Amino acid sequence: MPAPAPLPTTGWSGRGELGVAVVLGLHVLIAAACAVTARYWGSRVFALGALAPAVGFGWLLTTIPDVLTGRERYALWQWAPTLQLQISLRLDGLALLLGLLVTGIGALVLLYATRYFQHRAHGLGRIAAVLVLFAGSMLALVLADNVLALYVAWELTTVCSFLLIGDDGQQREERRAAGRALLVTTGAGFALLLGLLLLAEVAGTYRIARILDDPPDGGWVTVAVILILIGAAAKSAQIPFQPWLPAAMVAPTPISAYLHAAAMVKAGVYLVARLAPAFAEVMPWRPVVLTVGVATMLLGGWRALTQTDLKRLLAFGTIAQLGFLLALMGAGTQTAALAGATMLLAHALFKATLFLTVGIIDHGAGTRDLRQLSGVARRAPLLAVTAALACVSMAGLPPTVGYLGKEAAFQAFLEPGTGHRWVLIGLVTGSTLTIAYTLRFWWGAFGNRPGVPVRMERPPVSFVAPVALIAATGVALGLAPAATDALTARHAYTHPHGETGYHLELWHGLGAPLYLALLTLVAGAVIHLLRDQIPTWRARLPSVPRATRIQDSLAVAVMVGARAVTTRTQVGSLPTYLMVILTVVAVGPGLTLVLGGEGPIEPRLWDSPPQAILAIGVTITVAGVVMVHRRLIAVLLLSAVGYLVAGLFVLHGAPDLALVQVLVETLTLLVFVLVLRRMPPGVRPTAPSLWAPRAVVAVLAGLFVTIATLTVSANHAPSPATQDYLRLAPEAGGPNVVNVIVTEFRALDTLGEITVLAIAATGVASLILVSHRTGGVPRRETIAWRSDNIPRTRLLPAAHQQAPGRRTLLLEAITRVIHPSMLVVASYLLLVGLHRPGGGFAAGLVVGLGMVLRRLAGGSRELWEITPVPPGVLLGTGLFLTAGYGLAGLLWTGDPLSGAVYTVDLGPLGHLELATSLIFEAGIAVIVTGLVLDILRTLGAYDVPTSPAEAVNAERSAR
Amino acid sequence: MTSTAVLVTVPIILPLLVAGITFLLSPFPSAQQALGVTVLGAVLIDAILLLVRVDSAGPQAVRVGGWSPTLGITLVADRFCALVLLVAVTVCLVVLLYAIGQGIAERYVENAPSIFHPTYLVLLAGIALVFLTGDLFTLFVGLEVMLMASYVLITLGATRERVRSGMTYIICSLVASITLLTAIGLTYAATGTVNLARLSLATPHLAEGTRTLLGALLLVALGIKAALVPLHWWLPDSYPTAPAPVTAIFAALLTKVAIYAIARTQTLLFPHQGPSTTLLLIAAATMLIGIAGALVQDDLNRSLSFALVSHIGFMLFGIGLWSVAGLTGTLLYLVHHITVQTALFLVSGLVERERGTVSLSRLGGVAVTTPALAALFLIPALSLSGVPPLAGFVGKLALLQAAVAPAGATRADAIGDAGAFGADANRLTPLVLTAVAILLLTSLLTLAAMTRIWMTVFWGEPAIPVPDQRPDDAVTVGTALPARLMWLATTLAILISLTVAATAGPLSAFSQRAAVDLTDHDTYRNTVLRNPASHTEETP
Repeated sequence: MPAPAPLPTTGWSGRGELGVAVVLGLHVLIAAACAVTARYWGSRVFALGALAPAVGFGWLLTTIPDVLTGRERYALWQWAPTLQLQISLRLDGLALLLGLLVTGIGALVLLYATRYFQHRAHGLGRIAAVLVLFAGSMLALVLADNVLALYVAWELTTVCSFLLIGDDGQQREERRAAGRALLVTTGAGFALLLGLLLLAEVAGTYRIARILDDPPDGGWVTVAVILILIGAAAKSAQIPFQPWLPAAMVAPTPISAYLHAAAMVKAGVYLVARLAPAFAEVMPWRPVVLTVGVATMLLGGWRALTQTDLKRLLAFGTIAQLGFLLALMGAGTQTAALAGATMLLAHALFKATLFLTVGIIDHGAGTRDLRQLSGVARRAPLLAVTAALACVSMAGLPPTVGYLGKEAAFQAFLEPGTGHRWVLIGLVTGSTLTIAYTLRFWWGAFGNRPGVPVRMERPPVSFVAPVALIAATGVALGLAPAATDALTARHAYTHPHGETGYHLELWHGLGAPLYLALLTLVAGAVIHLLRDQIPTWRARLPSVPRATRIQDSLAVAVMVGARAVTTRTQVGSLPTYLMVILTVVAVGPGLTLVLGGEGPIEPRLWDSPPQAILAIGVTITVAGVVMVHRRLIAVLLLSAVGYLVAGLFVLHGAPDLALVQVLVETLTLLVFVLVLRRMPPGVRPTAPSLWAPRAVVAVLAGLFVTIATLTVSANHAPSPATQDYLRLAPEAGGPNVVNVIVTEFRALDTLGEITVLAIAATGVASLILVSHRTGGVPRRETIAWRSDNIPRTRLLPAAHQQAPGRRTLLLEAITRVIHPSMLVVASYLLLVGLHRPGGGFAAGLVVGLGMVLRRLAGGSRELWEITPVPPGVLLGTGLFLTAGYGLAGLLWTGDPLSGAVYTVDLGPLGHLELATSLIFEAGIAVIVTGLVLDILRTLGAYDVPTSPAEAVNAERSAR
Repeated sequence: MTSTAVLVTVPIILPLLVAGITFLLSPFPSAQQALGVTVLGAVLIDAILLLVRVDSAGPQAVRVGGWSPTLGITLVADRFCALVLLVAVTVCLVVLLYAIGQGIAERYVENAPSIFHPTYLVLLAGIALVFLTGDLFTLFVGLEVMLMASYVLITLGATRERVRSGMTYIICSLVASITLLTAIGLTYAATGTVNLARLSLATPHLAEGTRTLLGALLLVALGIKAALVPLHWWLPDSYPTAPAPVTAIFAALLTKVAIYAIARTQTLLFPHQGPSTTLLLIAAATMLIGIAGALVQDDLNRSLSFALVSHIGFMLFGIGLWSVAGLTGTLLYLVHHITVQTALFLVSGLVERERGTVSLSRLGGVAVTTPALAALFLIPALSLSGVPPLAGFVGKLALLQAAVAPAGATRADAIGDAGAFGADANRLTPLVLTAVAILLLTSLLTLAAMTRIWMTVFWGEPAIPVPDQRPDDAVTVGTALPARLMWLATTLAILISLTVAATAGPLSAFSQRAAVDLTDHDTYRNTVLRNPASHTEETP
């Protein structure tokens, strides 16, 4: 046995790698071509599809001399090296064997499909494309030399299988079968992924060849092995995952033959075979593999005996054979591996043949129920012979490859080994069942049944030819045991254990394997003769839980659980959500506070008695807000809280904050009042049962914030910036530090916050204007708009539109006097902001208050009449000014939002310091004005005119 | 003026400036469209240049107004934020195209101006501000800008359901904002600064209890926005009712912005040694509760919203591992998840356009009537489930590797774990393994949820389209009206998701560098605090 070639790490190496790139690329290209051309070519598109695996088969043939003499092929592409994600390929004996099967049978099945799908019109492009993609993925799977590449290919085959089983999803049965196959194999696939990752991380390499060369050990390897076996068992339909395979038989026959007999289901067996040389000795590999394999073989064989649908019969036969293969491949001895590789070859050939045979019968007779078939052999003799050849191989009779495999299998477990005797008993029993269901199949498909009409039509030779070719290969390989041995022994020799020098031969002489084979033949024939008794035997067996039912109830349990969790928690009640959020806030971080053990807090209660008075006032008022049931009173109390807090600001020496707070509070109150006019006066009182929990949560949250604040302020760290602010503020704009912070030091925050204001204004307008529908969307004409017949020189032009009873002449008079001066005050506040309390924000608020005044005096139309532009223009202009100021600073000085101070000499009037940030302040003022205007106008937009005459008047004026 | 200053500032200021202009242009929808697309294109180019810059030259700091970090606000661009910004802008552009195609962007009612474009631009500016800021308070401001824009967008059209769900959304968000503000206030009280770099110097010296308190409070406040279980309930109740492009952009970005903020603040201010039990437990609960909801919904958008919640857990899982590899995984998953959620919600919008409903029980056979749409759904659905070779697999793989890698103790140092998280912090604990198992189970249940949608919506008997329930609103549904731009945008979103998978090599290498950046606090602080061009010199 030649030493393994050194493993390249990067790039291309050796020769022939271009071949694999071309072959895999060709699969993708041809799949795309199939999808496109199916519309014109119909089912002939499958012949195009067959090209891809055929080329692959040809390429693999050319590599045989190299690979069988130990010159393995490698290729490597990097995908994401950081994640060890490499498309690393390796062509060795095992990969070659599987590759030949996948490509060879793939090509023939696709050829067969051109006839099979001849009478179907829809979905052919999809089926052909996915089949070809599957063939490529499967080839990549067996070539993969990186655990992640293997997993990628593994899952690709699963997805292809899902799409092929489901077809166009019109049948419920197809959908269920596709879903079951997908979820079972992918779910176990996730276990496989975790297992592979563990294995690779422990081994320190993701290259399979390297892992096998230097297998790691330790506790994690055991975990990894279990996880990997789960993935492999599900993919190869082993107990307890097997039900997806018979269900998948709803797929068209070429798909069943290729994916669910010859190729995809072999992936699990392949992985076990791949890892067995290194890990068969790791507990619990061998007991698991042998037990599961033998049990699956017995179960599959037994269930096959009672099937009447030929396809399902074959499906259970496949399950049985996969169990057989798993036991052989996983046993970890050379002879077992040789038997496994040979049986794998044999199974792919005979099972594909038989499935395709069933497809032809199904087409010709319109049924695959063996109770309704009769005389098929007479109508289709070539098909009967073909199937017979495959059956001989399946039964393990000479001179077929199945015989070579079975004899080797018996031999493998006749060799000494732990538990081998039990495995042998299981395998002999399983083989007996195999012979029984093989007989049942041929008898069922081709036997004559008196009284059953002969419905079979003669199949065209071109339909049968690919099938016959596959069957003939099985016989040819059996007749050339040396060639078969050459193909399979490369894999066997990778096993370090159990060198016995056993080779495949048609005649090993008289010995135990031969006697056992004869025993199975006789016993199988007897069971077939007693076939009518089987249902009664079956009835006598104790009932065991069916895997299908377990899987289904698991799925139902998950759904029921998910529904229960979701309906219990996702209750759709905002107060509940808020309670939970507040509880988490209070309990989560609160717990850290309790556990943190910061030591006793000695709070300083107040600096001056007025603070205490204000604080008590705030507390009482807040309690009032919660208690009262009338909206208006609640709003008034809320405002009171705001004014009291403003008072606290004053006591702390922050007149700017207090000024803005008072202005905002006033404006908010007025807007609230305007809104409340449209709402019912009272709120629904909280149900008494909710009082207690809400109170608890509220108190908890309040306690948490209080304690947190006290704790943190106890260790208060003075801000190093304070002195710098005081020092630098004058040169940055003016002595009013607060406003300099707002417009200079932290202007970006201000920009953000006034953007919030602008957007809030548009949001309010959009909400109210659109949602206020009384039968459809209001049209432009019905909304108050500027009237043309009112002299705009007057202050309060809209006042006269109000009903006489609603006018307040005193208010009108006061407004006329005060409003202009408010504008002056606003201008003052804007200009002095950097020096004294004020600023753009306060200025905008004062303008806004002026508008409120006019709104109250002039009625809801007033603001529509006096504003020449919609508020959006103000908002836009403000945003443009402020953001533009930021960008200009960037372009001018290189720093975004940077300003400068210019001193203007006014001669005898002294000099005026003008900061460029005045532009910024002006922008703020414009946005705040726009906000107030937008809200006030919007709230008045739907005010119904007070009298019919006025309605007419308003209607006219709107035009 | 340095080019860095321009690159860092433009994504914030330019959208705001143009938002102002689009307000003025509200009578001219096509001008708004053209301007919006142009600006997003410009910001996209900016983001690409920024990414290249920070990858070659390391983190960049820009002092707003030229003020030192003690006084003013510093913007900081590193690999982490540059990558997330690039993905976010790309997705914004795609969704804007979709919105234009769908027509919600232009329709306006009466004299309520056409507010979609300015609001959308402001949303982007807020997101960019969160990503780029090096200041805890400005992060709050950025979140507020983003949230206010989202309040407007979620109630767009103001149908009864939207106003109702908007209430849930807005009030929960306000509670989150207040909590965040409290957390920031306490942080300032304890440390005397809100500059992140200076904070990272201060937090290690805080008393243990105070530090834990601040870390936990910040996590909870941002956790509400990120929809971590059990703070997530507002999300499935509010997202699904908005118009498809709005839901798409929300699902793609808003929760991820919060995850970004969590990753930024937790790694910089509250570094942890070894896997964090709390974070892993929250991550596991988020994954499971989220996906349980996704399994049982009848509404396609609601199901996708629950799936969104669930997969937030994946990103938190990576943070909770507290390793470079874990953060790499989080970053990769973040990028993947932004693109895939966009794609799924856009496809859902197309389904509604075709069939007039997103109710699973009233849909069926779309694969038969519109096979292309089925393909557009299948790819992101499988990607979300983590099926290879799609982007979701790459992200999940990175997370799994991060969790499992410590099993191979010999290789633990190969990834280069060091920095703030400690050198030998990595162990494969039973807790981590349990979280891994839950992550994989969630992947399976995600696949189950997607399969369920696939089987009811795309397979089965073709159902009759439901007539448009609201013929008078902006969104036309239930017709086969040509919607080329919507299709184009959806295809683009899926192509971007596929690109994420195809470029997994450079992307994962970049993410790893970005994750290393997150643990390299010294470089971050040096970038921010030592700047020769500042007005006042500063010593950290």
